[in-house]
Amino acid sequence: MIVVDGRPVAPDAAHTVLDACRTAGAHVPTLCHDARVEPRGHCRACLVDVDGRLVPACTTPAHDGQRIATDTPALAAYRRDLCELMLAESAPRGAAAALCAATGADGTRYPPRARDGRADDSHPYLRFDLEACIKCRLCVQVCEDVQGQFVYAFAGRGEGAHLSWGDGVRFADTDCVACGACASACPSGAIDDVDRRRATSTAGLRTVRTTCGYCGVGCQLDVRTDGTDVVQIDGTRAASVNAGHLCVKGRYAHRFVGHPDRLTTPLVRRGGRRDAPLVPAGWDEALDLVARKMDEHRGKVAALSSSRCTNEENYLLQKWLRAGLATHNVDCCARVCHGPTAAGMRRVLGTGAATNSLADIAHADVILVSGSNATVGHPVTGARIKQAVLRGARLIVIDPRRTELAAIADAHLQLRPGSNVALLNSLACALFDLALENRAFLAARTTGAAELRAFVAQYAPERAEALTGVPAALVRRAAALWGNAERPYQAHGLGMTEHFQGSESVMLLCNLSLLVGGFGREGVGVNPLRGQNNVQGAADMGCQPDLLTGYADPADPAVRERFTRVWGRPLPTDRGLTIPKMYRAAARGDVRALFILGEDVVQTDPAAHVDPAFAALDFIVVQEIFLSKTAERADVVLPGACFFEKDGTFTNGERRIQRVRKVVEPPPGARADWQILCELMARTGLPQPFAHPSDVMDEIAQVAPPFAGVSFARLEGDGLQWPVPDAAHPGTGILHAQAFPVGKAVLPQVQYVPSPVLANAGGEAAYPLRLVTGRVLEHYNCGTMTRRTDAVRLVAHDALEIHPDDARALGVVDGAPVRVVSAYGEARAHAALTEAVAPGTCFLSFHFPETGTNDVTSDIVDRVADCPEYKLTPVRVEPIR
Amino acid sequence: MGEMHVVLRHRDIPDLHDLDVYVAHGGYAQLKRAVTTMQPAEVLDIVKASGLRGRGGAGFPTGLKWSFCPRDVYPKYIVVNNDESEPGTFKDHELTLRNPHQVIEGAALAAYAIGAQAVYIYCRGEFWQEMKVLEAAVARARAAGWLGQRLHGTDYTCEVYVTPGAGAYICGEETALLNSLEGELGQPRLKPPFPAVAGLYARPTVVNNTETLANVPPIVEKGAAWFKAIGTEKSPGTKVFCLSGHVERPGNYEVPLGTPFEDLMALAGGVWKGRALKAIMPAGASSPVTPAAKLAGLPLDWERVAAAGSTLGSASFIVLDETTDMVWVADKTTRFFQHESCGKCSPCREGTYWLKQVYRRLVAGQGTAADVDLIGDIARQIDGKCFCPLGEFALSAPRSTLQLFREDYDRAAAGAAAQNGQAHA
Ligand SMILES: Cc1cc2nc3c(=O)[nH]c(=O)nc-3n(C[C@H](O)[C@H](O)[C@H](O)COP(=O)(O)O)c2cc1C
Ligand code: SF4
Ligand code: SF4
Ligand code: FES
Repeated sequence: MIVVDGRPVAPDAAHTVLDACRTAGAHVPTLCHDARVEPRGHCRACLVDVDGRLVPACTTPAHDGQRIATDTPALAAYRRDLCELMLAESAPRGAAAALCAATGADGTRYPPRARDGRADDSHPYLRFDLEACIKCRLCVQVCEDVQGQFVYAFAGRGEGAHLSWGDGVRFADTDCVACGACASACPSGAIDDVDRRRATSTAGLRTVRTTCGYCGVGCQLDVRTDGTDVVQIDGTRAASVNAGHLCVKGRYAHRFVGHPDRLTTPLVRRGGRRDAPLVPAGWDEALDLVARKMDEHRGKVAALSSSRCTNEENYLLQKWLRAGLATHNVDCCARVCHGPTAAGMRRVLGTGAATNSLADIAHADVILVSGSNATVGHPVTGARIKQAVLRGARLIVIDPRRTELAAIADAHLQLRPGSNVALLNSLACALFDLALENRAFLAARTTGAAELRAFVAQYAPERAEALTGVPAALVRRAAALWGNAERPYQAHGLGMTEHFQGSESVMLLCNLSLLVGGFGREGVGVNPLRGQNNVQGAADMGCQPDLLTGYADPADPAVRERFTRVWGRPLPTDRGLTIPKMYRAAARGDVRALFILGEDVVQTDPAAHVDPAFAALDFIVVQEIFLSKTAERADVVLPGACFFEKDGTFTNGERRIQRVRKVVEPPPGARADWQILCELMARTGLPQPFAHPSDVMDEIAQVAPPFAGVSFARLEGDGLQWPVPDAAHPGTGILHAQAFPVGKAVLPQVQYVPSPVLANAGGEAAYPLRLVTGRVLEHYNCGTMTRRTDAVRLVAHDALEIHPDDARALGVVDGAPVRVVSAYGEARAHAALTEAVAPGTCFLSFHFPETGTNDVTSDIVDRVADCPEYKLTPVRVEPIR
Repeated sequence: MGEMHVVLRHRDIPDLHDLDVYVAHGGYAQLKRAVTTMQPAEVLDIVKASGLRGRGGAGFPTGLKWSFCPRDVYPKYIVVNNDESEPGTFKDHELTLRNPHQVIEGAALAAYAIGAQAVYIYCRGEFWQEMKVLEAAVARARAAGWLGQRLHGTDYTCEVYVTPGAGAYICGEETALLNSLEGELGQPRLKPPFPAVAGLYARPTVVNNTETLANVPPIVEKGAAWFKAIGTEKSPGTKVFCLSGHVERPGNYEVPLGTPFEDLMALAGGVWKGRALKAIMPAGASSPVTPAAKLAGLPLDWERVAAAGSTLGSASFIVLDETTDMVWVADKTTRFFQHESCGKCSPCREGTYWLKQVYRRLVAGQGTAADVDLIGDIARQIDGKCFCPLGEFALSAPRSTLQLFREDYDRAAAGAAAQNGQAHA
């Protein structure tokens, strides 16, 4: 028994003396303690009396028999004097100032000495006033251990010790990725940010926990609001997904919410003419028009759902199409990102979603990241991977670019874009060659090992090298690392899926984990890093033509019966169209009306697909929060609400269903998307009884067995990971513990087929470079949200990354404007010379409409799942003079 | 008792720093014998049985420290603490310059005993000359096959690297040293974990003082019983005493532990200018002063110096004669520690700063009685509150001088009173 101020505490309830004190309800002041990092004992504020000695509570291990006093006259005197010393060296705010006040220290004991008076406000978000710094170094630790960035150091010694980010360097010029962790941790206010400063000067703030809308990591946010505005955001410390951490977008990119560009009234083109201007209209006029047109084109309607919308909204949209408009023509942007993951994983394993949880990264000993620039696309997951690597996990990265993770990897397999299948096969071959395949696992849970072994022999690394450009020795080294892993964890991204052989590449990723027995336990698995915040949910809800809510097969009679019973309508009998097929059908006149919920396809889908379709369609509806490039071309625009303005749920990439909570009201005139959809359903003869999104979730639980146990009441806190088969089930963090849904997995054999885009394009002579597209940290996809925040002060335009050798040959200098030309079209950007791309490869982001990135990309799609091949287009680059 | 040269053997053997001379006098034979004929555990057992205690300050039993290293975790490291930055300490400097091979052989024996294959000799930043000598010695020993890969046809490999410090006293503290060796800011680490479990690059590591390791070859050669027969029961062996300050012949004197204070002083010719002794600081600037009265007949070993209210530490005797103003002494040590505080924890960083301000006032004749009281207050704020021992080292001189020589302080404060009086008059 430990005794704290006379109260007993069980010794196993406490790791440190501080834990013990807190368990006992005793207040111990701390300044440099932060649960996200190891305690270091720098500030000395937490001293308590343990068995007659003063020791730091945060770093002293708790053990049985300790007698702890937290409130003695000696401690009170010590704390006051410590604060006096602190006030002599600094002018703290925040927690440090509060401690000074609480101890009665008033800064009169010692005359203030010369202080570090530096201030810096060069950065769009972060603010520095080092006169407040109490030198606790928590910022250094948090930056290094949470974000894996090394921006800060302490310089000088003794009383000259001071925080440094480089002598004479403006903070804006450091490697800071603006995750804001330091500002959230600093106890003195020396490091602050623009929002925090706003929050301290705003009275009566309320905090609402919700889920970030910026990517599939699904970080939990504590949003502070004054009732009308989002004022300041912190990561939720208790959240399983992010444990308080956030990235620059989640923490700071929220100014779009009340932006003057927000749509606040429906817009229509009167007279049924495309060349008529979009003019404001009343809700009734707009909704009636949409309902009438969708009815009129029955049999020739299609809808694109939104991965930015909630599960409930996605559910309603597909229900509307299927039950109301009698068609399976509904798809979502999973098609253009992780559709191949779902298809590939379902084929091999039986389930098309992440097999494990994000928290498993910490337990992995070897991590394979393929086709993912995780620190950019999924920053908080990327940070987790960096944390794991810093703690000693080994890292293998497959990527044509030398990404931040590639730079710290044990093996970076820098393949030529488009050669994924060849490389993955050669890794499998090398595993067999080293006899590192897990025979017991293969025998128990797979078939076809011998056949696979014979098949991949043709991809011996020495032979595959000609296709992939990756040195054979490196492939063998990576295979040795992977094969010797105890807990091999995979994370993959769109660099695997957005290819002609995207689905097949994912099947081969499954192979790599099957070969080493990497399924069904902690710290392993195949884990797609889902792109948009709710792309997992959109697919889960059935926004795809071939699968219903909960991945139910519409051909299954039991399924048909269940849906018909709940929906009160028969299921449609058509086959349903994927997004690329919708465009083609539209161009042919087989689809006449298209409903687009919150997607900017004009900017993000290949123009080669979109333009002919839009020209031929009779009626286009876009439900949006800004007048996007797509909305500009619509016949009706309906103003929706963003995720801060409505209730619902998002499902992150680890299948975790989490609550989205309304923080502020939508702008006057705009409506929550689920309400708009219910209105449209009613006006097309399918009235819905829902008064709140939670009612929608209750219906989802009825139709879809994986969500049977889900209800809003159960989603408080960390939510639930599906499958949740009943109301008592705790959710499922790890899939396939015992068996795969397919039973024994059949190890797939996939032959490498060069993408037709390479043949299509008029030859290497005309288009010598291979273009990869993707995103940057500061912006999110089409940029409609982030471009309306200070993120533009960090990154103001898309840049074409090109190797200095290639640039020199073309006469292109850093920052120069260039034209990127493919067989499909052209884009314009500024060149950024970098050795992060190999010679022969270049990279372009797609956040700014003026760039026209997707005018360049081709109409080639994944031959299984129809996902466009964004990650490979032969181009040439020309300087613009 | 007189001098006895176990580690300062170069004083008896000219040119011992030369490899050939060292080998001719039995050098590297013990390492060869150990590697070819002894189990690592046997070497460890001899050192354990000898009772050798660390010469770096704490006097921790060396064999015991080695045995804390887990057996089957690799790699492991031996780090030689050759940072020697304590004011008044200059024994490692002489040892590495004049008898480098004995240090290297001792370190290699330690490495063999714990199963390490690499030795890092971390040298004080100012030790340019010592670094050169050590590097040349390692290179020659390696070229001659005494160090390096697969020693004497066995599987055992031992490489020795000489690395420079960057000029901070705190880098003598073993965990700060390890940080510095890793290229990090040289500041102490939180303990536990102790270096024996997670030291250099988070691997099991033994950090030993230069002099400690120089004792190892003779111990392995002559046996534990021989060593135990020198010195006292709890403090066996010889110790190099660094004598400086108000003494006729400052320098290093190696004598058996337990040698009476007077005998040691006699070797150095006694207090200079025939003056009387006021006090000494037995372990450099970081030790409480010990007044002459307590020194009479005092046998110099760890236990008895501690019983006299101070610490033997690295045995760096700063001798202070009867004319010494103890406020001046404490001011000097305070300035030193204020300059050397690493700045990591607030009590030391801020406390030493304010301590310095007070002493500056006192020695400038501007101090007051309130200042004298403030010393006690600041000391209380530092004592037991710091991250590493440096904070408390900084209190040694102020507290002990204040307690033992209050009159010096009163005089300093009175000086201020007189000045103030003049100013008011
Ligand atoms: C502030 C501080 C400075 C130190 N400086 C030295 C030093 O210069 N040389 C040294 O050998 N030990 C120094 N030590 C002691 C070391 O931390 C460590 O105890 C010693 O190297 C262990 O070696 P030993 O067991 O052989 O004595 C210092 C300790 C502290 C706290
Ligand atoms: S800036 Fe803040 S977190 Fe960093 S050392 Fe100063 S007080 Fe601590
Ligand atoms: S006691 Fe002094 S030297 Fe030691 S960690 Fe604290 S500030 Fe640094
Ligand atoms: S909170 Fe324990 S030392 Fe800072």
